[in-house]
Amino acid sequence: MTVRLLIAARVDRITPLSPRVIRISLRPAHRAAFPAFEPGDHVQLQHATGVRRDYSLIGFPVHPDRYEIAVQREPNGRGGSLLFHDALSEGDEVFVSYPQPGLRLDPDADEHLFIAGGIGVTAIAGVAHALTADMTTGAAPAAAVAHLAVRTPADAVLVDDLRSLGVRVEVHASSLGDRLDVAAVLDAAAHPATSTLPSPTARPATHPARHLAAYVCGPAGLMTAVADAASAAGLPPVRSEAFAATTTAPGERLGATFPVYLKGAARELVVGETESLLAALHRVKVPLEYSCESGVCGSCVVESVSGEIDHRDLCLSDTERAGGFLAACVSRGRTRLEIML
Amino acid sequence: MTGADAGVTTPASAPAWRGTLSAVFVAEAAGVEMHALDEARMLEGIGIEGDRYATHRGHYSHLWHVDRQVTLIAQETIDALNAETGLGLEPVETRRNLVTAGAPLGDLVGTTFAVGEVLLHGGRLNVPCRYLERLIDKAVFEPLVGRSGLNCSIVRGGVIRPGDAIVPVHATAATDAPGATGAPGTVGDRS
Repeated sequence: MTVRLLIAARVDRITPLSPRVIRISLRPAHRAAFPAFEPGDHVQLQHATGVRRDYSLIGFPVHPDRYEIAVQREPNGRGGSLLFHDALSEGDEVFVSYPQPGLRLDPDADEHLFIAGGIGVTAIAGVAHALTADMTTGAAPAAAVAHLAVRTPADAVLVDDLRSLGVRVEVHASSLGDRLDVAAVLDAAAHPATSTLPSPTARPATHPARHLAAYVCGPAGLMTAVADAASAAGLPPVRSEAFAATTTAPGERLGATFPVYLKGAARELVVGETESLLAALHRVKVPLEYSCESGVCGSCVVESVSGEIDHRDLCLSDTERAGGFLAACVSRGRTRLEIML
Repeated sequence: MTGADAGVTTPASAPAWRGTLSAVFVAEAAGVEMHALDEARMLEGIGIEGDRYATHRGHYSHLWHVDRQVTLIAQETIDALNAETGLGLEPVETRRNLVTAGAPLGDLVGTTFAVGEVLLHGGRLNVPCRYLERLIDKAVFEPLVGRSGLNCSIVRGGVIRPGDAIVPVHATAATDAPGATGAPGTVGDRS
């Protein structure tokens, strides 16, 4: 569980990082500082229109007087990034959530291998701030390398941020014929003595103190490839962060129809085969909050007091599910549900 | 002349109780943390200026009810809850608009009372909801049952400030107040 409140904020600065990416800096509107956050945390940013999206926090955790995120313009997405690019100005009022737990650095690792695809670098740039904690504890700094897969060199953002944290950065631009070879990178990490590729450290795989952790954030295909390659190379499970919505095609059948009774409104509705419970609620003018539409963020969780639920989310604990909570964007009823709305 | 005296008919004898307004909170939209105000304008028949239920941006705004114009909770309840549970619930986390001290909120359903220069009518007892628990990540639902505060309508608007007196209004004024149903709260009691 985590605090899910939103905080009133103002856009302090918008800075272009590349032709498609902007850095947005936020200041709180009614309080002196935002809540402190851990490296790797992310927040939901709500536009004045009510649209919400999740973004990694990329600024210094020791500066809670501002939150910083990076937003990539996605012309073929769900429209959220277009709002933050085209309908947001410095001084505008927005709402930002309390920090939500995200990617975490392996505290026992002394070597970190980061792999990012496109804007997935923001999650890496966020969690990499944890590397600087070694400096305050006096421990020997961990070795870290980040492989960024981008289309063109201009698309590689936050490179200086990563280097300032002591991360060695390798940019792979597919437009230049330098496509990231995931299997080769992970094999090199697992077997540095026999590989020609650079590895976080020069320690042999058999070094008794060697503890390598791998991380990935990016498109689903990259995440799957990295997980498979890590397994094939005999590495521990890869730590990952998934933001991309698993969008469904319009008209795609999501499941059987099911009836819903809204206890507060004393109203019946039927959720159709091709719509989610979230969409059905909006259709009947119940403005339930939402963000990811993929069962990840928890924004649209509602409480059902009766009925059998087909849970399809990634955000609820077993206890919460047993308590009748469900993510309206993806989960459905196997029987009639009574919802507390 | 204090706000509590201005145009308010109080019993000829000393009022049975006299409370104090401790804090005023509003939130701009659903799910947004409340923030404290040094003073607030209460809009008759609507709600607190700037609060999400006055602007129809609340989580339960689709369940509009005359008694959901302003919500109150007693500091005594918060203190008792914290003593019993150790949850450390802050007044702002209750997501009620007004925090009172010395006012018997549970006894004010169906009555009219003054908060400074403003008149409120106690419509129904507030009922806690799980939505509040998910927002603030504190298990407050069970501890709040039966003492979750009071939902009111604004009979006469005006400006209120922390420190304002809260006093009962004469019985004749109370029976004349609109919406005096006394019914208990239901789903959607303002979070």
